[in-house]
Amino acid sequence: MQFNSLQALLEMGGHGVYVWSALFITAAIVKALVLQPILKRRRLLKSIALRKTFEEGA
Amino acid sequence: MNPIIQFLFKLGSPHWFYRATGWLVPVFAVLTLGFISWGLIEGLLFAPMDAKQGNSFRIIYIHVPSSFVALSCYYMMATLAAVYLIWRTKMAEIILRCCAVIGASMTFISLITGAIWGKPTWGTWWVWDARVTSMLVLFFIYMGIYALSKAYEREELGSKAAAILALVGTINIPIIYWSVDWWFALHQGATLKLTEKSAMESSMLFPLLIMIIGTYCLYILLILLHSRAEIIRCEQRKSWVKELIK
Repeated sequence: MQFNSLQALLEMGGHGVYVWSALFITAAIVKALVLQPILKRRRLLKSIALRKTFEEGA
Repeated sequence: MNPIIQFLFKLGSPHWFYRATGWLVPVFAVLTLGFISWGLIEGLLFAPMDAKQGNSFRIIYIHVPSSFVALSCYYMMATLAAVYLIWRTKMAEIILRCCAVIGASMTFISLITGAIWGKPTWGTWWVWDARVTSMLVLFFIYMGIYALSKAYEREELGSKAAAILALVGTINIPIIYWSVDWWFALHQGATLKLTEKSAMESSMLFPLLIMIIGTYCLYILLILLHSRAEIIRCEQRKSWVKELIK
């Protein structure tokens, strides 16, 4: 372990703000990249199901 | 028929691809989560501090893997572009469009983490250095491909135009690779070398290798997620998609 306390880990000798902001920006982009297709697929399947019940009912 | 060619033929069919890749999604989700958390813990908590750059060097554990994937994604996209233009393979077209989004995001991550790293190390957020500029060009090429793929009423025309731009843009890839050697620049030389000893100490190198493996797993996961969603969108009128819903 390189850091003795949580404080030291967050500060990283004055460089913490750079390291952690880089990590959080990356995490936000990756989260969006993972969620977007999952939500898109779910939305599509829902609308296909809706159309199917409509076609079968008609 | 040759079994490999037979396999490639099947891979080109959206229905087969969708059915065959379902089990891969949770596998790669677990691999990605495992490798990236392991790599981040090793890199942020246990790797020793860099003697010259201090703790800011830890950004390398995000910056280098995302740059690798940004370039690999381009290779894949350019290859698929050729496959699509020659054989009109439907799956090549679908993954090609997904690659543009994933590649642009990875290039953006690489640029932004590079800028954040540049501030404490070079004293500036941005320089018009050869490596940095050629990566910015890569980002614009990805954006151009994405925009073209959406630009036509008939999707097929958009894909064709995007595929041509993807092939033309390949010229930028060797420029990115050798930019740190061709021009004496601010960006440091390559950290990992295939043929020589790496420029990095092993305790710093190990977390980087873990992060690179993890980021490649993430890349495969993203390709699967995006292309599977896109398959459903393209094939939503087909009977096999309707049969997915019981």
